[in-house]
Amino acid sequence: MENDYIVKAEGLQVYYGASHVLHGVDFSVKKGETVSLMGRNGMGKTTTLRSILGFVPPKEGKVEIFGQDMTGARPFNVIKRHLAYVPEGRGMFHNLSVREHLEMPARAGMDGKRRWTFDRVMETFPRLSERLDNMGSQLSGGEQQMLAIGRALMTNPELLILDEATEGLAPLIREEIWRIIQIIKNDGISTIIVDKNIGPILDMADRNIILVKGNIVFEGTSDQLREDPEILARNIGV
Amino acid sequence: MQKTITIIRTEHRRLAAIINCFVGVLSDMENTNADPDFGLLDQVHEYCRSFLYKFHHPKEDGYLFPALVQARPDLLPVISKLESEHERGVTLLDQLDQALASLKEDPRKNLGLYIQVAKTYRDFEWKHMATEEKEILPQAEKSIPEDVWKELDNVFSDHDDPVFGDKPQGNYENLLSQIVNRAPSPHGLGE
Amino acid sequence: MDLTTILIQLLNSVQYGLLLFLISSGLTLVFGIMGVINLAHGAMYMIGAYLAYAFVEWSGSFSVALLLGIPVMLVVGIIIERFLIDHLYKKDHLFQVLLTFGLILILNDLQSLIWGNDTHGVPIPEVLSGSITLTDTMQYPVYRLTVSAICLVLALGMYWVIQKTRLGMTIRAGASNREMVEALGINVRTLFTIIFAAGVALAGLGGMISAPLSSVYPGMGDSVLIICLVVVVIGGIGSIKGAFWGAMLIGLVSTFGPILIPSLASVMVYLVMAIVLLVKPRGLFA
Repeated sequence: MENDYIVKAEGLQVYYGASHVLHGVDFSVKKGETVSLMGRNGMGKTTTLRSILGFVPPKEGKVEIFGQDMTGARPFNVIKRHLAYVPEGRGMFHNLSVREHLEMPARAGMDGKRRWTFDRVMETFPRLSERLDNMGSQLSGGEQQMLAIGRALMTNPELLILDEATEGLAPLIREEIWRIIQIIKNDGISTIIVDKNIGPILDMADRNIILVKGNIVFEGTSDQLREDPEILARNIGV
Repeated sequence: MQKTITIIRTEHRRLAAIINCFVGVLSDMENTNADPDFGLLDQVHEYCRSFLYKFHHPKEDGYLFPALVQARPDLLPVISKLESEHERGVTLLDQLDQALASLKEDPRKNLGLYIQVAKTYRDFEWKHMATEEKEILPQAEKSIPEDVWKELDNVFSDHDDPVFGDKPQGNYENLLSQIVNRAPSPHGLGE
Repeated sequence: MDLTTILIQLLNSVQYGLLLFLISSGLTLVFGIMGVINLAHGAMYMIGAYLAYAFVEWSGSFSVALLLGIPVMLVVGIIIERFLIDHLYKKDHLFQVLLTFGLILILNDLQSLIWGNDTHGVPIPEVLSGSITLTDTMQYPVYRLTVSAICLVLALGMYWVIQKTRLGMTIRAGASNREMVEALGINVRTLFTIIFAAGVALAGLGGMISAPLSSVYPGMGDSVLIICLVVVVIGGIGSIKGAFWGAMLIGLVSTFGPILIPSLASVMVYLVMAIVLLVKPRGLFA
């Protein structure tokens, strides 16, 4: 059972200075799972991700990655264990070309294979193949998001973390991103998704976690949330 | 039940996004005097027509609506209206095709007309889908018996089904992907 | 000034510019990518020069001195980065200036303790000690041409690494968004150590190869530091291209300035810096 977990975080108490922002958060992702993290702005979603990844070490609590204790480890150490992080804001390099964004972090996956290659990324994101020599800063918001996801895939991760990947993008681009996420899921990659569009997220998630003021107030299936719309209405206002 | 509802909702959402993109691109075209991308417009027409009439509406007309009428005969008027709207949609698409033909002949002169027809089509589909989402789907969830739902779920998730299966699904997803990659920013990923 | 003199001075200015570039590249990279002002950078040049003197004294061979000196400079760079610079990353610039200034004082004193306060010379290697004839009236020292050649090769090498290799992409990405590089599973700390050590080694190498030309004396790092800061500021902080063109400009100005306008000789370089900053406040290639 233990070996099934990619991420297992327990009892996370996280502070920003004197401000206590996460109160005993438990968060886990099993192999093959898609977990959604929901909550209003400022409720602790990004903080939860960042404390698991090591950007904000927890004051108390434990973080295990593939069964190994990585509490407070440096982010690169956590992430190189076959995780990939597509942060809010996309994290573009203004002085690298599209091609370089994809080549720089490329590596084989946990099984030593490269299921996601440069060519496969070109196939999945055809627009990027037309912009290979453009710098990160020259891309539109939608192109940047595609590049951020493609870049993460080049590291052949077991777990892909998407923090507000559709924010600020036109409806059709959002649809394309969700379609691509489904392809990624079908590929066997587990995902953590933070997204304000409840409908598509419920459709994709195996498990949903709702955060309110740094506390987990709900953890359950999409069916449970659909059967009782009160839960979402009360906690997210949807 | 959930499988079918999810499928119907997703398909509505995707169509709405395509039409949204379509009207947005046209408005930009009007404001900036840019040359129309006829290839893109052809693709959008193709998506609306074949996706709706060969893939999406058959689910509703052929399976969902009959099941709902059986369970709730009182909803017959609403459902009949929706079915006739499906037919009306074909007429509107024909008009849209004609307007596109005129646009290709004389872009400067006929852009205004094309946009008008496009907006009419959008408003029509918006209203139609809203009725389905607000009045039909919740009633279907409530009233259609479980065993009937099971049947519907099975038909729509049959990977090998020639109408609803993976192959046609893949074709429409490819077309959607082509459209979004081609449509100009900010509506799509293109120039 | 006749044509021969102009040509010779031009070659001199190119050689000086290339050397300045070699030394300044480390300073601009560290400042631009790691956000650290390292005032002790000039001291690295000094250490390189003294190492050249010491190793040539000991072995009699300049090549041996280089072969020993470069690894020593790399180790010095790694040690300083790990024990000192590591603490400076999150600190403000004033703290960095104070700490690295203190390092200059310590290093200058250490130099004095080890090698005393006399000026020393380092002989030009035999095989490079001649002159070559460029025109029927003009001869130019082979060694100076060699220095230019070494700097040029290293400059091209640096360009190739930064523009064409994955390490270079990672370095450039680090200059743009350090946290995102870490978020891609790359050890940014090790990257910084590499960048810093390389910068120190380049400055030290600059000291080694210019020792036969400018001799070895206490405080020689201090004046180099000032000029390097001017080069970096003119070129734009963090820009290798800027450091190159800034260095070539300063090379030109330092060589021809005093000849053309002797009264402004000592301030020429700073005047040029002021003019550049008036037109482009963030440097030429910011």
